[in-house]
Amino acid sequence: MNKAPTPIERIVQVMCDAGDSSVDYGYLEEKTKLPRRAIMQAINRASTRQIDYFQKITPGVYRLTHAGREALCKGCVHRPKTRTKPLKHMLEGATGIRAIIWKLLRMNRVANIPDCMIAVSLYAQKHGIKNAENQVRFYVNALVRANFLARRGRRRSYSYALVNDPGPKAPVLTAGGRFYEPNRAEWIEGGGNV
Amino acid sequence: MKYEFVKTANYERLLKAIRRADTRGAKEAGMIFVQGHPGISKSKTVEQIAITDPGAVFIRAKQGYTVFGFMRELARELSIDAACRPDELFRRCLAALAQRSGAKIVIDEVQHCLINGAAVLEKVRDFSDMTGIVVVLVAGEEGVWERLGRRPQLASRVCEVVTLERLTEKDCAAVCAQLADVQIAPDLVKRIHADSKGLMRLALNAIANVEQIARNNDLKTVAAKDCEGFDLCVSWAEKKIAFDRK
Repeated sequence: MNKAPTPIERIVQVMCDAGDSSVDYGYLEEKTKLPRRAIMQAINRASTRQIDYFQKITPGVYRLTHAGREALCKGCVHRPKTRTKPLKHMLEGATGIRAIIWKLLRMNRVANIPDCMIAVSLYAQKHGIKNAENQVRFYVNALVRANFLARRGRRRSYSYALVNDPGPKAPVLTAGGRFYEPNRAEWIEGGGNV
Repeated sequence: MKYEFVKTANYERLLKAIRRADTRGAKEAGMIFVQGHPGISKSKTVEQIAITDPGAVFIRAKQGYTVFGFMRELARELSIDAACRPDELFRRCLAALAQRSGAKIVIDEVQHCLINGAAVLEKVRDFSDMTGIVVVLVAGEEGVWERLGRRPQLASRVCEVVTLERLTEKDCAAVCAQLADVQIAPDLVKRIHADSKGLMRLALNAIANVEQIARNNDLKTVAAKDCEGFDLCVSWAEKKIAFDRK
């Protein structure tokens, strides 16, 4: 089965097409059709995992190394591992603010950000959470991207309708931008913002 | 306006009632009945309690509710497979409720459970009797307690009747202080309390109007004299009643 190319594969391909010349973020954005944030994340991750595909010329300007070109020719560009088995804490669903938002959405079917803020306010006060609104927006937007919620209304006054209700346990958003859905025990793509 | 939940006297009253029900003497009398005037923030108060309690199962009764429909919804909330015969489903729900720590069933719009000889409430009573869990019944209209009172086998199992009251002046001051982005002077708080007649829904509208006045006039503290000539709380329901009387 052919898998969709990962951001790193797309970047390596574009750099290889560019030959020996160095490229900047603007060029990569244009050719890969990826947002700048995703390109930066992919290059930074490669660097932290000691994958030497890219040589930094100046900040924001990179060139493909011999190792990168070789990996592309052999068809073995690094592909991050995707988790298939959930961690133990994922089985009970998300907790804290995320669990509250999920419960609210299931109770009312439609909610907006102020409704969510009111629901989580006591929890946030009790646990000294200062950025509750950011957390609410982050989770709700991820649920929209994974098609659990449908966004409706106008900008700045969106409301969110629950369109996919798998059960009472809140979907767990993982670092890779995927959701683990504990009620049906399945992984759902599309939660990330890339 | 800030979006926060204000712990009013009503919230504290309901919380105390639930705590008292948890430590009740007669195990079979585990029902709490909640009622109140529309617009008093009854649903938000109950919702907050249901959300913050991890053991609580919230069910909103619907028009034409049946016993099997109720059990299927309960099973879904308890993550149980509902594809089985009704008696088996009852056994499964019972087992799940017995295992759940601090389990409570919160039923909103309970008037819909009173149809067909209150069959749904009889089933709820079975769950409550057999597992000793607390059931919170929330009335969505007036006169529900009287209708429930006609069934002594159910009414006698209600250990607390919580009537949510209109906001007190102290509550109103707390709401204004906690939710408004501008400072509201005590004389204006008094006016909001009087105009809103203690209804949370109208008090929230008044705060939004006061904030608008503050923005238009570049004020940091708003007093009653700044809002003279403005209708802060418009209750269209009351206006309609007055119009009908004319």
